[in-house]
Amino acid sequence: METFGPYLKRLRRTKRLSLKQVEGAAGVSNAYLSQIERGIRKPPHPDILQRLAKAYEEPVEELLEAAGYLKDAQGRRIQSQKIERAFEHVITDPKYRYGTRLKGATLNLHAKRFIVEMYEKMTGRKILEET
Amino acid sequence: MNEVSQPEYPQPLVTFCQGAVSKFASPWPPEESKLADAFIAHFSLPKLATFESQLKLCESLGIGVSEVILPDNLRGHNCCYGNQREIQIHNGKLHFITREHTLLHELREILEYIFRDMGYPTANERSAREDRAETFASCVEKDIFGDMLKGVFQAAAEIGSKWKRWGAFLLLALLGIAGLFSITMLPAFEEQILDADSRNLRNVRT
Repeated sequence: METFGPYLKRLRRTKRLSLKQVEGAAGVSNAYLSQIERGIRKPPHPDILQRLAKAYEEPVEELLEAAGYLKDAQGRRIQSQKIERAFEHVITDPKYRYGTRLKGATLNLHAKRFIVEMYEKMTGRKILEET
Repeated sequence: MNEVSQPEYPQPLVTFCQGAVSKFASPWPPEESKLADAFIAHFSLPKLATFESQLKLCESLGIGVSEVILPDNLRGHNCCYGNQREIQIHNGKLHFITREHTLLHELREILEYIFRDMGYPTANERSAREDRAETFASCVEKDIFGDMLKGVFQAAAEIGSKWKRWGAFLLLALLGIAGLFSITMLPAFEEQILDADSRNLRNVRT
């Protein structure tokens, strides 16, 4: 995976911006930017990334993700979506019946995952990987 | 690979459901207390009096029962696919309080699949099915407890000494009230008891 410095440099070049221009647009010193691009400095604080995203006209999430800030949240979101899709598959399979004794009114994500895993065990299918 | 069609259910359960439909067809659905009475009569009370006897019944029906640590949100789970049938029951430290109830709940849900396939569902919404299964489990437990108590009362009636006999009656009456109260209040108690249990489990894991 591309590290943050080269990613930021590539982004700037794609936008045909000089370090000076970014400094003017984002209020981040060009010397500091240059050090980040060369990997001498760590990815900056999310506040600075916000300003850079505006200057580069890119979604801030993209810069945050490249900087490693969204790694866990992103991974969790993808996993949740996978579970929800797999669960949808389970409840619409007419050949499969399941029921629960629940605490509360709705199934949480952990419970859905358990139901999907039981489905995989019973049917021999790997729907979490397929979805 | 063999194509799996609709789930196959144990013949004794199918026979029970067919009997229930013909007995209670009008008006359908019947009250859960009536279904519970019919269930106990069909599978005979002694078989259901303890968790072990409930397990034996499930075994004879080809339903695998396992006690596992379930996610916080779940007390029990059942699933049927092809000729496989399984029930999982929450296995917390205090699970013994509710495992009979949960097993009966899950069995009632399996009965519901059969009713549905026969074109006689007793509830369509998932929450309504859950409520009916809860009521069914409580009714079966109350019937079993009541019958057990009746037997003990009859035995106590044969005690020779008048004072000892009335002492036994008093003790049994108190036991009966406490037993029925705990069965009725189980869902309310369970939330608090099992929540504490889940917290303990989380603490152990971390």
